[in-house]
Amino acid sequence: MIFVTIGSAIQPFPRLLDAMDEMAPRLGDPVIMQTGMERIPYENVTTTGYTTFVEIHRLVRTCSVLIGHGSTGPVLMARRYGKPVIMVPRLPEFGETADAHPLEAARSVEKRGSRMTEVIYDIADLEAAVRRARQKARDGLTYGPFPERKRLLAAIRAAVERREVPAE
Amino acid sequence: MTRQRPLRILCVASGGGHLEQMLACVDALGGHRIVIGLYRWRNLAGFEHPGVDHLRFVMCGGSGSIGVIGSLLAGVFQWAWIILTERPDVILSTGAELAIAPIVLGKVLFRRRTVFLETAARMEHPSGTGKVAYPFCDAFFVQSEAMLKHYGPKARYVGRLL
Repeated sequence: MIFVTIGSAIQPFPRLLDAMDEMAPRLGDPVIMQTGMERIPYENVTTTGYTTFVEIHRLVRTCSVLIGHGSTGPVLMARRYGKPVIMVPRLPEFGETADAHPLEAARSVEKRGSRMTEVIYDIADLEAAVRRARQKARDGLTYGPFPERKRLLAAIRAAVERREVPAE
Repeated sequence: MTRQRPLRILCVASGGGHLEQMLACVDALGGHRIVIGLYRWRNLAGFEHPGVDHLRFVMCGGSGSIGVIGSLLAGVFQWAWIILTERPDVILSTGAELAIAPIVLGKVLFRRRTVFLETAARMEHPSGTGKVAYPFCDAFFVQSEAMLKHYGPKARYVGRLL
């Protein structure tokens, strides 16, 4: 199952949702989309409008590929459950986001992300990316070590416990 | 790792990516007593996470500047009550604007330890919350080197969540 989440922003995101609906029959995998405010019926996919935190986590845990909008939540959930993730950032020029900050997270992941992450700006590239991500899941690929994350979390624990923050 | 008495930690995060980043922190804070304070959203029904004792909710504000100011003011009283009843040793936040009231109150009125993690969605430009919260934080982390220039010497970059 391929799970698509577009977050809770009020701006529509048909660029991603329409592309997924259109490619779903070719993919041969069931596609579930969390569509937020979008009320358009889709032909080839199952949709949930807004759903709960618990349900989103269940869907990420059980999917083979996660496709998310450009911000931090989907990337962190994908890492938590060891899933390949494709970020499709909401772009301000299409009216998909009120400000450009989702692009900062996407650019950072693009530059320094893992082999399990991919960022797609041009929707025409999405289908090939979905097939690549699905192959990673089939090959049992997983996330590598991430020392920067470990260091940050250790430093936060130290700061909370009022210990010296470990040097970089 | 140094063992010490379990601390009472009030974790403040709004939904979505802020909450996911907070849960990554919670996973690294094993042994302490964690309470998460966040907006009252129906979509949190059934929420549970290992290490989280319980949730405390504040009313969700409206949109627009009047809504934001209104919810900040309403938030002051709600957070004061939460801090009084939870008696946290530390207030930890990953944003967003929800965090301003508990961090300022927690520092100025209740003299609690305050720790802030700037969101990973901010790799180049600081968040409004970060700028307001910075003077009231004992420890302040950003998630990219480029962010250090926007803050004072207290800000540290030691790593990132994504």
